[in-house]
Amino acid sequence: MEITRDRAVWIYERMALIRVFEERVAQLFADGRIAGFVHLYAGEEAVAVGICTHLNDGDFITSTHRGHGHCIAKGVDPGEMMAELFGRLGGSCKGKGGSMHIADVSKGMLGANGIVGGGPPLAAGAALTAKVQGSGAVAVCFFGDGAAEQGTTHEAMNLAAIWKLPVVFVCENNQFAESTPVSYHCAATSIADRAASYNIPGVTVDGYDVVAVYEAAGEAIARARRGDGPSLLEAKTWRYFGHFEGDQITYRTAEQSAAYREHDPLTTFARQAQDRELLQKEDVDRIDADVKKKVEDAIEFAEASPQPAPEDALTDVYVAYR
Amino acid sequence: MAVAVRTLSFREAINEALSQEMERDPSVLLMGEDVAGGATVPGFDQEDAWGGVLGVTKGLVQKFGRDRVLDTPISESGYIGAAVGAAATGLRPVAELMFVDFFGVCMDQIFNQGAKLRYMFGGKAKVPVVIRTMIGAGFRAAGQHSGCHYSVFTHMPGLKTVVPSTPADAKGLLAAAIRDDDPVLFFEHKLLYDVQGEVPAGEHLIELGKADIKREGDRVTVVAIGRMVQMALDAAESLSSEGVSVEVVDPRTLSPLDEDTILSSVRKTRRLVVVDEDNPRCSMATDLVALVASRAFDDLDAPPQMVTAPHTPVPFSPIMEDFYVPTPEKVAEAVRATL
Amino acid sequence: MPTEVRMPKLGMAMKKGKVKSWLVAEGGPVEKGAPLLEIMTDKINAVVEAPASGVLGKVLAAANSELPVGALLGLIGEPGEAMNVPEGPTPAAASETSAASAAPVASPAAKETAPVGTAAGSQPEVLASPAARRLARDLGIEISRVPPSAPGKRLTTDDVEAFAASAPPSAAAAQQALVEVPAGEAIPFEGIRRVVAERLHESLQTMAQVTVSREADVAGLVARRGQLAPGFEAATGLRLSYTDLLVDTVARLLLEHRMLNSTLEDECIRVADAVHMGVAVALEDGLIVPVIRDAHTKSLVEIARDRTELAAKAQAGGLGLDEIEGGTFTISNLGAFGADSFTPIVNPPQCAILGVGRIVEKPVVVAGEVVVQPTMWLSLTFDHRLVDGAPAARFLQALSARLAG
Repeated sequence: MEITRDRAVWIYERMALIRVFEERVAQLFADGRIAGFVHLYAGEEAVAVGICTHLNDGDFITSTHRGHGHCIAKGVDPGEMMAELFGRLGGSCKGKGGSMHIADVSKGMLGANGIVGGGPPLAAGAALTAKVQGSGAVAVCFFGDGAAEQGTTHEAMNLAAIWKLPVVFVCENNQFAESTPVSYHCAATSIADRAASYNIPGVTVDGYDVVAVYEAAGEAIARARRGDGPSLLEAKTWRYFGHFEGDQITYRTAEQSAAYREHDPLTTFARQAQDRELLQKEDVDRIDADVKKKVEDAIEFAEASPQPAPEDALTDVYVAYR
Repeated sequence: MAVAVRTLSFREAINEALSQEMERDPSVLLMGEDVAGGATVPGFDQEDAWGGVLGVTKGLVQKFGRDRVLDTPISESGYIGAAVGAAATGLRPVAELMFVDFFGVCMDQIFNQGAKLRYMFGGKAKVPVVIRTMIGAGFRAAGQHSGCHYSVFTHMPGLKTVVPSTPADAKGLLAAAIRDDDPVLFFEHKLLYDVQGEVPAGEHLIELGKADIKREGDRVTVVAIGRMVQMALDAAESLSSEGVSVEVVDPRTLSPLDEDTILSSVRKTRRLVVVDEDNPRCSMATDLVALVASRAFDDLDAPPQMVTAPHTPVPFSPIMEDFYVPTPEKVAEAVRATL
Repeated sequence: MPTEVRMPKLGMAMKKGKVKSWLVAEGGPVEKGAPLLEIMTDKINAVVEAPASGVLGKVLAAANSELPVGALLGLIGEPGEAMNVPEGPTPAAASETSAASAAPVASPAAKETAPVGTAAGSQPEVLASPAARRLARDLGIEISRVPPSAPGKRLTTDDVEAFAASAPPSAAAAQQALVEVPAGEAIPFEGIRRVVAERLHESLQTMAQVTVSREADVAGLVARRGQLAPGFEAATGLRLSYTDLLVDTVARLLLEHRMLNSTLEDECIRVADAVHMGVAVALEDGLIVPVIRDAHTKSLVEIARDRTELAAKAQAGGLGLDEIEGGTFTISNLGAFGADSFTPIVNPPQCAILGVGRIVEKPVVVAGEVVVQPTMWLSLTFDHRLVDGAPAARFLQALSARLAG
């Protein structure tokens, strides 16, 4: 599973797109142009992109409240995403979901989730569909270190293991459950070690190294596609923004964040890819310019998208209700 | 063409609906604790295993195999959530929540995931899952295995709720629920499982949202739910000897609710009694009375009456439990109070 | 000092009105806010409420007298109070002179009756079911006269029915006469019937009316209502009708077909910048077209609420002139009465009216396949002096497209 030039372009482009998207959303939120709860993914790009490089539209992912990065990595249109954050009719959920429930089933993206630990059983179910239908698809369940402590996560891992479901559980350990450090809230020293309880492989990788994530994910996803059952992948990572926009981040220091910035996943990968002659400097510059334009286009699309009528609130509850 | 009709028990009618729908549609599968009861597991040679804790799904694993009749671990959040996820991605799972009282351990997956996905995704997903669950007092099973609680689920937008009262209705409504594209909670009263009734043999579908008039009358309307329909019919029979003609309306589905049938019955009789085994606060009973009070106030000749369980958990002692459940005598008393 | 009852001004354009009938006899007790007399204008019938409590001491305008706005119609005062017609300029009766101008003041007997307010308050409260109260109201029976089946027991419809069966038929029969047309009896050609007749006749005489029709696929309309109605009704308590959806769609579409949203007044074609949508309402004794103002900017909830309120007021005869004037376009829906199609008559000074029939499921050929689709006949009558056939047909074409998808 060598990284080709095309893959390198895709990986850098997706990570850069997530970064710019999130930084612009932070500004738009601060300017009062986006309402509600917004949780930003910047800093964690290597995890979503390293994993989703192996997936196609027929594969499923479940996400978390910090879902924009997963959407972009899974190919959801940034314009529809931005329109959703703006609450417009052209949003991927017609303005009914917002940031915390953003989804696009047509891309296999089964939703960000406002419930910590809400996604793992759904991912097991999506994998069950793939298994019953024999489609060869896999499901990836993204969850945080906070959700690692939820019963649903353990129930879903056990269920997936006994039914040999094609699912990969990916713990994005950004080291804080909201503001509570993982060292406090988790009795285990490694979340990946919990895989042993379910007789499935458990691996910890550096979530700041997209190549490492890509390689570990490649193995886990291939195993799932072969029908050999689930795996657990723990990616150690760090978010640049607070738990939510407006968070004053009083629970960690600026020095800690600065240290992570030194190893920023985007600049690290750009350098590695140039060293290995997969990308040229011009490629990086061009992609950087392209993604900025994509995000500005997305904002323009969102602003041009019509507002819903109040009574649009009354539709889409049921498929049919007499 | 004559439709073949046999006498089946409520339990057999449900089993037949499951079996026929599984034959018809390969995307239908069952999951739940003990639904196969370990039958057909290699090395576990109990051919005649449980098939559900009260035998409702007996024989189905032998017929459809372990890939479509899935025993689950005792982890309701895990497998109910998996059923929701599978429904959102193309299957039609029928999950069994053994006793409705267990909703406490899996409500998030029903309420925040199953019921809301379609809405939160702007109508771009559907969740055709059925959750079958047992309800009702009378088994001396006390506080955590005897509640009804369908009112809780009826309160939640995105869910449909079905409470059958006869074997034929159970078959027709379950088949319709499985074919429905929305999440349906299907409530089976455990004291009804041995009740016998005529059931059509072939395909039998009852549209969700259509009430059934189980007995016609013109003096008092009694709306009764699930097992309480029989209480109402018994009361109606004894009241007829007093010259009081009672109409018994069975809503069959609580959401969607057939308001028209209920309102037109009340407009005819001008009197309403609701019989509901669920607890009385924020319940179907209060909801039905509110419906009639707000939409048919000028048609009423008497204040509506409610015959419900008391606002307590279900007690263990047979003496106390028998007091807890509405009886035909209590229904008749409420009917007389409207005259 | 007696309180004066004068001919009210019920709308911008009202200049005179006709006393239809007094609802209280001269010398009878009146209560402030209670119905006192009925008047007719050339557009509506209205009930005038008593401006004060007391007795109706003097009736100055008899039934059928037509008087200008502001004319003195009667006086309300204390029992026994002298009812002097105030001096000064009183608008003169426009036609007949008041036959009751010489009526005597309140009889001395009125002195002995208790003041009206306390008389009402001292009546024992009647325990009766809502259904019994409604039935009594419908039969014209005063509920306090109905005896209960047992002392202290709530009156039910059974009690009212038994009382009605035993009581002389006068009250009930009188009530019936208002709604049912007795065979062989001459009905005065007046009031709302006359207004409807004159306006429709004028419309046909002055305009060059042409009707274009087409049958439309309304799958989209039916689907939209099916999707919205349950939640809509639960959230607002209002029934969402096809008429509401049509008002919503047509009002917005008219912004792109402005000539059809015009009026011809004072030798000027006025192309309206807002859509004030008239919606025809069938009454017991005629037809009235209340207007939903600014329908093009209103949400569906507002449209449904306006329409429901206006229709209820129309049925109760309580529409103000301001609620029936100023329309720029009209929709007439006879679907509920089972009509397939009809040629509506334009409501002057408007330019056009849309008539819609019932929704029928029909086999239709779509891309070579026979499918069952809901269809509806649309008929647009327009004034050919203002608009030509092609733009009118284009409007129907655009409307059909919106109702289909």
